[in-house]
Amino acid sequence: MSQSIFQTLQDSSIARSIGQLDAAYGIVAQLLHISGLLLLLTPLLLINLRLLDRGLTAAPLQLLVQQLGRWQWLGLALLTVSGVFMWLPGAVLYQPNPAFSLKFILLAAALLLQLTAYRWLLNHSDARYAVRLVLVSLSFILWFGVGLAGRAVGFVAA
Amino acid sequence: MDAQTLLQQMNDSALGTALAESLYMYPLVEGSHLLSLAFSFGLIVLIDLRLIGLALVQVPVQSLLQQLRPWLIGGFVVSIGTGILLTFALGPDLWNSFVFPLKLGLIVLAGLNAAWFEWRYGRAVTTWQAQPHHPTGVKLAGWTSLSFWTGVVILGRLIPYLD
Repeated sequence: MSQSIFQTLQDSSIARSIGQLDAAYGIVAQLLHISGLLLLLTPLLLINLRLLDRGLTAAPLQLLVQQLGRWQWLGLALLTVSGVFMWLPGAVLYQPNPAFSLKFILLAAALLLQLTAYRWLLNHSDARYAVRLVLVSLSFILWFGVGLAGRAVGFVAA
Repeated sequence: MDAQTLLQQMNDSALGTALAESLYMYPLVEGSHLLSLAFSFGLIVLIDLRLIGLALVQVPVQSLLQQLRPWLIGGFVVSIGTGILLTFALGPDLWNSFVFPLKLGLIVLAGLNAAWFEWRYGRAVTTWQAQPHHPTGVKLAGWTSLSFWTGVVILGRLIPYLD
């Protein structure tokens, strides 16, 4: 079932058009993918350090969330667009790759955490240190796990 | 000894062979090299943007420099350490194009820029951080750092394609 969906996507006209582009576009997409990753991870690092009182303690948390949160969503948008661009022409190759599946399981978990418990934490930064530590550690593990799994896609055979 | 010979010797060493042939270590080192950029490159970009006046302008520069320095240095230790390991694994082919030497050159220049900033402005940050506009030299150091490190990351990504 999913194999046929991947095949249909790979056979789509947009996937064929991307596949016929010069290799330079692929390099640009990779650079945008890395930019997106850094736009997502560095603000996450700063906000997490602030939540644990380990960095930027002179700045109110809400200021950081307001200013750096926009970078994170921009990063996520860049990751999505450049990721689809790189994936679509070879969708069938990625489908059986375990690292590819792991990446999306971790991504789903990271987004779920980000939109639920982590969002709660941003509004309750006076929560007990142990609660903050657990949620911050989870967010680090999940988001950096997404990055590592994504990097592993190119190394793990289907 | 020239660079190509040194890279060949590194590649022929037990470490170089083990890394190049390892199923898990090479991807793990490469992934760590990439993700450590969130600490090294990401934090330096944020500091540069603050020096230029384009981000977190409400946060005092001194607190930004002091509190982020340990994480920044930690990030660079991992980036440079994993980068050296990757050099062991990749061998003399790295020297076949301008990309890797240029990347090393830019890292040296970015380091010199950081040292100059620290010597000229970093130690006296309390004297200029409250001014409505930072001194031109501070902004220049920020732009220079931003340009050099962006170049380093772009060149690093180009290595597999242009070597």
